[in-house]
Amino acid sequence: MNTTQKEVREDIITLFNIKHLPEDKQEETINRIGTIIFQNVLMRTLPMLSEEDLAKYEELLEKNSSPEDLMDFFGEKIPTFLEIVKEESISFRKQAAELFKK
Amino acid sequence: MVKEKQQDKGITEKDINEIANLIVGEKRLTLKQKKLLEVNSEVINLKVAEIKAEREKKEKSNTKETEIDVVENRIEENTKNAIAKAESIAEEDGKEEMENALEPIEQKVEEIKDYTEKKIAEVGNNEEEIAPTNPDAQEKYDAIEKELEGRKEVVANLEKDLKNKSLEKIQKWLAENPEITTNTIQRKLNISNEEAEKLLTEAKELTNLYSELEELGDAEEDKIRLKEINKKLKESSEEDYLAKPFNLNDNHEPVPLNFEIQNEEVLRTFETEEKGWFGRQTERVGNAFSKGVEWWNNLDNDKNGKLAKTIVGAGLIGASIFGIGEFSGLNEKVNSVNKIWIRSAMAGLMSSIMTHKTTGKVINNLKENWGNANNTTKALAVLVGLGAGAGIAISFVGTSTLIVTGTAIATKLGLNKYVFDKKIEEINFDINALVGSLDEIEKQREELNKKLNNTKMWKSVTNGAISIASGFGSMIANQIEFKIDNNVDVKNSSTPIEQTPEADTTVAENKPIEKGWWGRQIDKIKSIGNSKEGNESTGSSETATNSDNNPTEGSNDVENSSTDTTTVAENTKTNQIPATEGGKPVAPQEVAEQKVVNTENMPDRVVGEKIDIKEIKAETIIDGEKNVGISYAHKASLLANKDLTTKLGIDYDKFATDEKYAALEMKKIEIKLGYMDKAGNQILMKEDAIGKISYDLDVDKDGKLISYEIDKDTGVIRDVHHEGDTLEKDLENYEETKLNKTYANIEKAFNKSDIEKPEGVISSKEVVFSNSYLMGDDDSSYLENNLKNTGNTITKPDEVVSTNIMNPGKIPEVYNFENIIKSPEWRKLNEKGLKDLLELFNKGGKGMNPEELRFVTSVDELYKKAIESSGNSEDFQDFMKYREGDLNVINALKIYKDVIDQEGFTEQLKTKYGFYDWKDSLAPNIEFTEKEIKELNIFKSNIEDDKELKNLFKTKYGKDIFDKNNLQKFMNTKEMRNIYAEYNKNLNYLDEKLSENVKQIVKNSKATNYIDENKNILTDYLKALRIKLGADGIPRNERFRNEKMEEYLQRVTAVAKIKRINIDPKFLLTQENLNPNTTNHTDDEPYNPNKK
Repeated sequence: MNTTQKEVREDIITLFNIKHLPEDKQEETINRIGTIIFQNVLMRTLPMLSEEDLAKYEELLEKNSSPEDLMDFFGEKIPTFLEIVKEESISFRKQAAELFKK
Repeated sequence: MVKEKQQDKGITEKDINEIANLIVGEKRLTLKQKKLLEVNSEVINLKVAEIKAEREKKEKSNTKETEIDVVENRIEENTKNAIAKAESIAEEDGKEEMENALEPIEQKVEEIKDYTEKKIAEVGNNEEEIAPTNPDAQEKYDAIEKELEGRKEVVANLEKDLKNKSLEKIQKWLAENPEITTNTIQRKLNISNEEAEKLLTEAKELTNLYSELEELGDAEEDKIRLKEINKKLKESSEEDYLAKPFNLNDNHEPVPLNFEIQNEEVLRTFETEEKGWFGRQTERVGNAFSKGVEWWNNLDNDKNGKLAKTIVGAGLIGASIFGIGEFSGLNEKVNSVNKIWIRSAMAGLMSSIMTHKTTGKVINNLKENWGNANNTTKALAVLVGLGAGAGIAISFVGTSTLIVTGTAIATKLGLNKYVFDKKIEEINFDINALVGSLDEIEKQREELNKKLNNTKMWKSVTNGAISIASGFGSMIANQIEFKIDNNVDVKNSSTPIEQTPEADTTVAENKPIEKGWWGRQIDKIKSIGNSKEGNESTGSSETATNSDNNPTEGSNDVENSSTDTTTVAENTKTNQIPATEGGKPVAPQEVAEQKVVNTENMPDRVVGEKIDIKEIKAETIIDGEKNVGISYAHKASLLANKDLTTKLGIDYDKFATDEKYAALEMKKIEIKLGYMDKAGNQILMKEDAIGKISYDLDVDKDGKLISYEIDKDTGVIRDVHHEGDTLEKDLENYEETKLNKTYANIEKAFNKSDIEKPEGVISSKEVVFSNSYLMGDDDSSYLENNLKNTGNTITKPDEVVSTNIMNPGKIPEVYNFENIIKSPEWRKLNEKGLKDLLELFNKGGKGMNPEELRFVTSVDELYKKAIESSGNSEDFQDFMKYREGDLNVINALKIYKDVIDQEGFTEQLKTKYGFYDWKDSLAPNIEFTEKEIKELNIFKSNIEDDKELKNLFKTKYGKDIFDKNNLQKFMNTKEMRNIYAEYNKNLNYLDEKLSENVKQIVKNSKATNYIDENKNILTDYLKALRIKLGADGIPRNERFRNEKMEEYLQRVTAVAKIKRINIDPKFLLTQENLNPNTTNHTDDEPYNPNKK
C-alpha cells in the first residue's frame, strides 16, 4: 500500500468512524449503503448504454460476474461513470447532512 | 632515620623490625637482641613507637566501619519491612489501618534517622582522624541518608495512592450508581463522613473532568484530522474541478462530447416514440435494472460475492470523499483510471477498513459515552453504520435531487460548493431519526424498484438521466420526481403519467408544493425519530399544491398533446406562468388565493439571518429554468400577493392581465432594487439558484421595496436588496450579470447607421420581458399570449428549452434564428414546430410572431448592409458565406461596424476575422504547401486521437471525414478550417509575443514537465485551459510521452474550438502570464527573461 492509500485509509477510518462500529455491523451497513448507491448509479448509467452494451451488461449478470467486473464494464462504456458514482455518493452525504441537521 | 642508625651501629633493618615487634608484642628478647637494643636503643624505640601508632589507628578504624555497617543494615531491613506492610495495608484499602501501621513505621524511620545522624556526627567529629584511613565512609553515609529520604517519599506516595484508589473506587461506584451517598462511601472505605463527602465531591469533579478531557481530546483529534481531510477534499475537488470540462465563468458550459453524440442518437429517433429506439430502450433499461438489482442481491449467497459486494459498496461510499485519481495515485484521463480505481482503490479501502482492529474497547467506550460524543463523531458513525437505512432514502433522493436540480453541471458545481463551503465538520445528524427510519425507507425503496419495472416510468427516468448527463434542462425530471413522490400507480393509469389530472388532484390533496419528496421524507423521518405520529401532510391546509399553484383550466390542450415531451413541457410550464383559461389569464384573485403559502412579511431581516423554511414561498423560487431574470420570481411574488402589489401602487388586475404593463412595472422595481439598470444590464440567476434560492419581494418597515434572497434548504438569508440600490456588482455565486445586449445593440446600430428602424420595434426602455425573450430568457407567458393571439401552434424556442430539448448551455447568447433553423438538434428535436417556423419564415414571415419577424428582418438588413458597405467585394461575400453559421445580430453588427469604419473589407479585417487563409481553402481543389500538409496531418492526428472528437466529427461530417490520404475532405469543413486558423492564430501570437529564446523554451518543453514545473510563462493560461477543457486539457503523458508544448497547444486549441470553448489568444499572453515577477514589461513588447 503506498503512502497515499495509507493516508486515504486513515482518513476514511476517521471520517466514517469505522472504528466506532461493531465489527459485525461494518460489513452489513456498508453493504446496505452500497446497495442503494449502486441502484442509483444503475438508474443513471443504464439509460446511457446502447442496445449492444445493454446486452453485454446482461451477459455479465448472467455469467455471475463480480461487482468489480461490472464496475469495469461501466467504466469502459461510460466515460463519466466515476463522475456519476461520485455524484451519487456526494449527494448521499450532502443530503444526509442536510436531513439530519439539528 | 632507622636506616641511618642501623648503618652507624652495625645493626640491620631486619634486626630493628624484629626487636621492635617483640617489644611491642611484649615478648622476650634473646641475649643478642638485648645487646643490640642497648647499643641501638634510640633507633629501636622509634620503631616501636611507630608500630604502636599504626596499630592504634587500625583498631580505631575497624571499630567505626563496623558501626556504620550495622546502621546501614538496620535502616535497610526496617524500612523494607515498613514499606511492605504499608503496601499490604494500602492494597486492602484500610485507611485507618494503614495509618496505624504507618505510625510505628514512621517512628521507626525517625529512630533510624536519629541513630544514623548521631553516628554520622560521631564519625564527623573524628573525621580528621578517620578520613586518612577510610575515605569512602562519608560517601556511604550520604548514600544512606539519601536512601532514607527516598523511602520516606515512598511512604508518602503510598498515602496518595490510597487516596487515588479510593477516588477511583468512588468514580466506579458513581458510574454504576450516580446517586451513591457519602454514607455508603464512608462505610465501604471505613473513613470519616467528612472525608467521604470530600472524596465524593472530588470524584465527581474528576469524573466530569476526565469526560471533558476525553471529549476534548477526541474532538481535537477529529478536528485536526478532519482539517487535513478537508484540505484534501478541497485539493481533490480543485483537481476534480480542473478535470471537468466545465467552466464556472463561462455562461456556455460545454457539454461532454460523448453525451452530445448520445443525445443526437436519442433525438434522432425521438419522434418515433415507443416504436423507436427510445421506446425499446426504456423497456430494455427497465428489465436491465431489475436484473441488476437481482444480481446484486444474489451476491449475498456467495461468500466471495458478498465480500466483493462489500468492497465495491465501500468504494461507492468512499467515492464522495476523494478524487478519482487519489486512490491509485494517478492523474491520467478519467477513462484510463476507471478500472484501476474501481479495482485497487476499493480493494485497498475495504481491506483497510475491514481489518481495522481497534474496535472492542472503543466501541464500548462509544456506547457508554454516546451522550457525550461530539456531533462529528455521531454523524460519521451514523453515516456509515446506524444511518444505513437513512442512506437508502438519502441515496435515492440524491438521484431525484440531481434530476430536479436541473443539470449535471449545476449539480457538480453545487457539490463542489458543498465541499468547499460546508466541509465535513459541520455535518450534524439526528441519530434517532436515522435509526428509526431504517426499515421504512428500505420499504419505500423496494416499492420504487417495483414501479421502475414500468416502461413509462423508466422512460421518464431514462429521459431524465439523459437530460442530466447532457446538461439539458430537466423539467421532465421534475415531473418524474413529482410522480414518484406521490406514488402514482403508473401501471393502472390509463393516460400517460404526465397527463393525469387526477394524479395532480391527488397530489394537491396531500402534498405541499413547497416540499418535494425529499422534503417530505425529512419531515417523516424526523417525526419517526422523534417518536411522533407522521405528519407529512402537515401544513396542507395552509400550503398550496402543485395543481393549486397552476390552475390550468385549459387542460384539454395538455391531454391532446401528442408526445410526452411536449406534454410534460406544457404541463411543467404551467408551474411557472400565470394561470390561463383558454389563452387568457385566470382571475388573479384565484391565483393569489390559491398560491399564497404564507404571506407573513419578513421586514428588515438581514443577511445571515435564518428564517423558518416554512415561511419560504414556493412561487419565489424559480425551478428548472436557466438564466431567467429575477423579475420572474418577483413577478410571481406580486401575482401571489395582491395586497403587496396594491401597496406598491400597482394596479393588480392590470398587472395580472397586461403583459406590457407588468413588464414596465417590473422593470421599475428591478431598477429600484439594483437587479437592473436603465441601460438594460441585469442580474440573472445561474443554475445554482434553480430550485435553491427564494427571491422574495416585500416592503420594509418604511414601506420601501426590499428583496430577500433566501436559501431554500437552510432558510439563511443570503442577500438583501433595498430600494435605491444600484446595479449589484458583488454578485452571489448563484447569480450572474447579463449586460445589455440585443435590443441595446440593435438600437445603437439603428441609431448609428442609416438603416431604417423597422416599424414597431419596441424600445428596450419600454419592455423588459421582450428584451429578455430575445436574450434567451424569455417570458413564457408573454410569448404564450402572443402565440395564442396569432392563432398558430408554432413550437417556440422557449418551449424547447422547457422541455429538456435544448441544452441550456448551448442556448445562443443572442436569440438567433439562423442558428435555430440550421441546428440539426433543434430540427430533430422539435421538427414539426421548427418546420412550421421555417416555412413561415420562407413565406415572408406571415403568421410569425411580430417580434420574431422583426428580429430576423433586422439580421437580414444588417447582413445586406454589411455587404453593401464592403463594396460588394467577392472576398467579403465569401467571408459572409463562411460566417453565415454564426452570423447573429451581434456578430453582424460587429462586422458591419468594422467594415464601415475601415471603409471596406480590408486586409486588416480579413486577418481580424481569420480570413487570410480561408479564401483559398474554399476552393474545391486545394493545393496545400508541404508545410501546411505537415501541420494539418499533425492536427488531424490530434483530432483522431481524441475518440470523442472523432466521433463527433463523424456524426457531423460523415464517416469518411478521416479517410486516409484525403486531407481535402478533412479540411473542407468550415469547422476544420476554423480550428486550423484558430490554432495558427494562437501560435502566431506566441511567435509575436515571445522572444526567440523563450519561444523555443516554451515550444520545446515537454508539456507535462512544463506544467508540473509551473513555469511562469503561460502558467495561468494553461491553468485556464485545464479548467475549460477538463481531462482534455491534461497533457498526454501516457500515449504521448513526448508531447511538446507546441503540440500540446495545437491540440488543446483544436479541442477547445471544437467544444465551442472560446480561448482568446490575447489571454494567452498577458503581462502576468508572461512573467508575473516582471513589473516593467509591457504586453506590447516581446518578453525578455533577462529584463528585470
